[in-house]
Amino acid sequence: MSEQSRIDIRSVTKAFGAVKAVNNVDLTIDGGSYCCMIGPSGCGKTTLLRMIAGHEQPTSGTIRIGGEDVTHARTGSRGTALMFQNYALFPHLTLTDNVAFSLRVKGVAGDDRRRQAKEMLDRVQLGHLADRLPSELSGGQQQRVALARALITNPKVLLLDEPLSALDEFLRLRMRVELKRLQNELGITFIHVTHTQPEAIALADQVVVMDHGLIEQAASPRDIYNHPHSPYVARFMGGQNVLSGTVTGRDTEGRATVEGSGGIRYDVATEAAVETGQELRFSVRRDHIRRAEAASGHNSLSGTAINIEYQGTFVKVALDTGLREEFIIYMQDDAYFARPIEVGETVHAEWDAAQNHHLIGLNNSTGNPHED
Amino acid sequence: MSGRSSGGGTRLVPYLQVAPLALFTIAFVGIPIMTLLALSFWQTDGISIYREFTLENYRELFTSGLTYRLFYTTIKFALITLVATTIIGFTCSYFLVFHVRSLKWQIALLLVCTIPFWTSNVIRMISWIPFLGREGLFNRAIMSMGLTSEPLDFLLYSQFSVVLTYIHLYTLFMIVPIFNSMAKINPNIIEAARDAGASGWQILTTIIIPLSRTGIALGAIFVVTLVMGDFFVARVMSGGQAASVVSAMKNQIDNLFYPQAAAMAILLIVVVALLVSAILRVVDIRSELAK
Repeated sequence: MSEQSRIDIRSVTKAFGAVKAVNNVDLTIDGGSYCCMIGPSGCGKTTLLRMIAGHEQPTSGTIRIGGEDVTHARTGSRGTALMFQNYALFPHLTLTDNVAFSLRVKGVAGDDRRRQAKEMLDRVQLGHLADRLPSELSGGQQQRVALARALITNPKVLLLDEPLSALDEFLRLRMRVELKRLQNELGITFIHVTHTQPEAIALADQVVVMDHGLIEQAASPRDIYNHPHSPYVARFMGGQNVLSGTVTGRDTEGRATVEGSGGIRYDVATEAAVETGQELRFSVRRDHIRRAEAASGHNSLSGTAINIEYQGTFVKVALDTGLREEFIIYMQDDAYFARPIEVGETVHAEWDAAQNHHLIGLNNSTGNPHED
Repeated sequence: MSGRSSGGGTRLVPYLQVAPLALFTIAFVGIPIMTLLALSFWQTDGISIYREFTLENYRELFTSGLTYRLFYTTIKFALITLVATTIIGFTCSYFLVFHVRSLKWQIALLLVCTIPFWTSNVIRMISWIPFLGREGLFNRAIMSMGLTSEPLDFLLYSQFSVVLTYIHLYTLFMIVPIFNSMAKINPNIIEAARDAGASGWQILTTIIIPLSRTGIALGAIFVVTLVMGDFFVARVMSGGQAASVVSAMKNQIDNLFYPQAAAMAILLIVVVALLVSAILRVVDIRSELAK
């Protein structure tokens, strides 16, 4: 199964007039894996998904599914099934007929297709509602019908366009588990478009972070989170502080010495060649930062506490350090409550040099949705 | 609950709320129909009307072959017009909704469809005469092209010209409701059908036509009632050769046979009501509109 459902996207561009929604993208998605495409609205993730489904034609480039070139193959004959964001159920057909639709257009006889549709509805625990119309169902139930309708075609690749965005928090978590279970069971490739970071981290084998029609980084969730490629990825995925400074030299261990604002020195293990005098950006995970008694001037930062949020297992402390961005520390709750912080208090923070992660990529945007 | 305590006043409110519409309907629909019904059972000698009960008007109506011929012709006109306006209306709406993607152009083109309605029905109808006549534009054109040596006579003052005029006058009543229900179809639904492997024709027959049926039914009601109630087009465009039910009724009225005309009118109301209920039986407009 896995080779058959592998997806190769080569130099794919989709232009709408002068705007390139997807710009010369290369991506390989392993067969049988769970891939999440994430990015702010307008980043091109949905367009890429729709091109894989065949609802949009690439302006240039090729798309292969299981080694077969499907760039211009007809939708519905390329082994993909798309689950729409608003489910797009047929309002005039019962659940059975909705699910059986693809069999009906293939000319499967009435009894046979109804039996198969019934089985698929049972599989998503909706067999008892088989004769209802979609408008009589709740959002979560409609979603499961949409899932059953997509799966009955026996797709090699299931494409999900923001499948959980219309559900409430509780249902979203439950459906998330169900999607993952289903993907394990079926062993086919799932491509899931989302704009919610925890969803991508929790589900995916491969996370594809996009911005402005480009792929910023495609890697495992752990890599994305620990080794973000650019300031944009670090900010968009969250849990990181992005800092910058000027390279002044190298220390004995070969790390770059970076001087940040206020003359603070940072040791950053570089992952690409850097020159003295250039600007360098790096990230520090918020949960690897300690509170210090005094400013050390070395792998540290001081600021005024401007906001404190209790999060249950940790406390989120936001500092104003005089930089453009807030500097945020996630403190263990026992460490925090041993000596709580008042808003307005000066706080010193420090961390190990090993926590400094060099951001090679140049995309410095904040990851907010585009205004367009 | 606090409303309950004010007693009778609360119970009156719903009646007061329906009163305006109820009074309007009684005054302008109920009373005229009751008058018509009463009149249809009275006697006349062609000079004055006697308020005495008789079934003679209906006996005459049902035993006359003319009645059946009139209804046959009128229903035939209605059905031919219905089929033609449905096909034209569906095609135009389909084009407007699915091929004209921008809302601005959709509205502009729909307005273009209404331009003929800026003049009166009579003018639009009469304007066919110089086009279709023996010496009309069409006959001259095909004769000058050598397609025929004699002018075609069936074009004007015939059943053909009557039906053609009906189609011209009433197609818009079909386009607007079909456009309305088609525009409500979520484009994602069509993509979902394509995603499931449906061809263009299958999408048309399994998705678009079923989801447009409310519009088709509403349009059908307009067209059927308009054609069934017409006498002017049938009279002018047929040159007096084809008679519709209402034009026969008008003759009776001109000859002061009011009770006979009333009986004919009651029968027409019943027939139209049956046709409309047949349409409603196919499509449950009320539940569809409630969605």
